[in-house]
Amino acid sequence: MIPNDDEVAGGYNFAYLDEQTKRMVRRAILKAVCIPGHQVPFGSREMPLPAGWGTGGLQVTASVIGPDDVLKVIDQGTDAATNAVSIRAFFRRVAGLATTERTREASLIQTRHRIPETPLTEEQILVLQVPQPEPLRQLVPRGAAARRLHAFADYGVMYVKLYEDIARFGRVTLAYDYPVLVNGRYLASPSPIPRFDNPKLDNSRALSLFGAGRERRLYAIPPYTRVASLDFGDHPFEVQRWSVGCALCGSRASYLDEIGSGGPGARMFVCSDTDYCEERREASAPARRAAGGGRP
Amino acid sequence: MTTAFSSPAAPPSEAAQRDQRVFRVLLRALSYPGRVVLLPALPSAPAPLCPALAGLLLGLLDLEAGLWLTPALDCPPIRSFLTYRAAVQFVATPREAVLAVVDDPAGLPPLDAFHPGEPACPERSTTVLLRVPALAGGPAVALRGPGIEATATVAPRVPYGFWDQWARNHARYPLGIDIIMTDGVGLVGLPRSVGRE
Ligand SMILES: [Zn+2]
Repeated sequence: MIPNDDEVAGGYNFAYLDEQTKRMVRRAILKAVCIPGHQVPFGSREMPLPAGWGTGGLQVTASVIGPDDVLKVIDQGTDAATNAVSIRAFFRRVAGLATTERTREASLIQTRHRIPETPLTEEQILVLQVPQPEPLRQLVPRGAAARRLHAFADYGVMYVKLYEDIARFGRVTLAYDYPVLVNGRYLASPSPIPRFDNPKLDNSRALSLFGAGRERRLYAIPPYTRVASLDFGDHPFEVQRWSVGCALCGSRASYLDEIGSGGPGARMFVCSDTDYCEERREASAPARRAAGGGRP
Repeated sequence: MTTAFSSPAAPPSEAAQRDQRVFRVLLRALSYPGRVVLLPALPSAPAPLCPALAGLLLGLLDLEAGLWLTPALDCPPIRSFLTYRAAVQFVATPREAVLAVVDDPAGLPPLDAFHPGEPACPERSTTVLLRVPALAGGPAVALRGPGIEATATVAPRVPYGFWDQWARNHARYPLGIDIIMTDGVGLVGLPRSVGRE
């Protein structure tokens, strides 16, 4: 192979991914943006990373990110989860990147399980880690068969599955990874986010990139793209709702997690998006933050 | 080279930083079609290859991305310039190209001469890097599609007939080619998903 400047310089590795691999991932990302919702295969390299890190998301982030970026990492809605902390530390260490826990301050947000409650802007890119990119996997076990269905936009099998749910339970029971039709053409997995988050993908101002490391596929939802959660005329798509608000900030608009608290039998719900919750609490108690009650 | 991740942190080389910046410009141009996105400063390249086309190419090329150069650019100095800086596989026809470079809209082959991808693999299509005399001042066209909030009006200097060809390219969606236009200073992305209003 012909050496390029980089290899001659001794194989530096900003963001831990070699330049050759980044090039490959970048080309796949650009194609993915041109064909919203279509899964684009990328590369075939082993990624020697600790299990559970979500190598798909990491490879996408490492290929996109640059020295001007501010990175936020969310796991299960919180920046404090072990995974999120180690991924942030990893990028700080290997790339000297600035990181933040604030949605508003981030230019690149890597996440799994949640999309921030704070609406994203055109200046932000969302990277979602995806364990299983193929929404038809449960229904069509063979990859080639699934690709044929995508080629013909033949998604009847998915509608049948959802309708069986309705026939048995009176509603679609999928709480997470609820399938979406992107730009009226490709069926896609929104990743294991609660279906509460699906509407945030519809006509978002930010680009969303989805990376599946094991399956070596990535796909994109560009900004201002129609993202429709599959439903039926007599059973329209609905998001989860709670009868109470967040016990900490009072929000009735955010996705809530149940936590154990108080005496036996007491149920308490709090925002799963910790940054959103803290921002709301700080806004209602500015004096406390000024007095040093804010985050480090 | 078997591992993609290697050890200790070192600052990125100038070329790597440039590739990353150019990629983000490309990503933005294709994510928000019709908007002019400015390129970073780029080093010179042997004429008639302009720095903009050279910078875009060097950020994307490797042995898996067959490159077709328009005859006006296909000369030994440009071939060796690219070969010295990147892993390149030249291909003989637009049809075989993953990347195609055209330095003048008058020399643009019919859009259906490029590879449109395959039904199960629409990503196997050609990306055309097209130098235009200007990104404004040509026939104005309103675009609609993913990445565009309502409509986006563009007016690059392209020959008469280009937009009819583009309409046919868009009609094949999800097959079709994607075009990046540059005037040397900025980029406009034209993904196949976007059509004339
Ligand atoms: Zn809250």
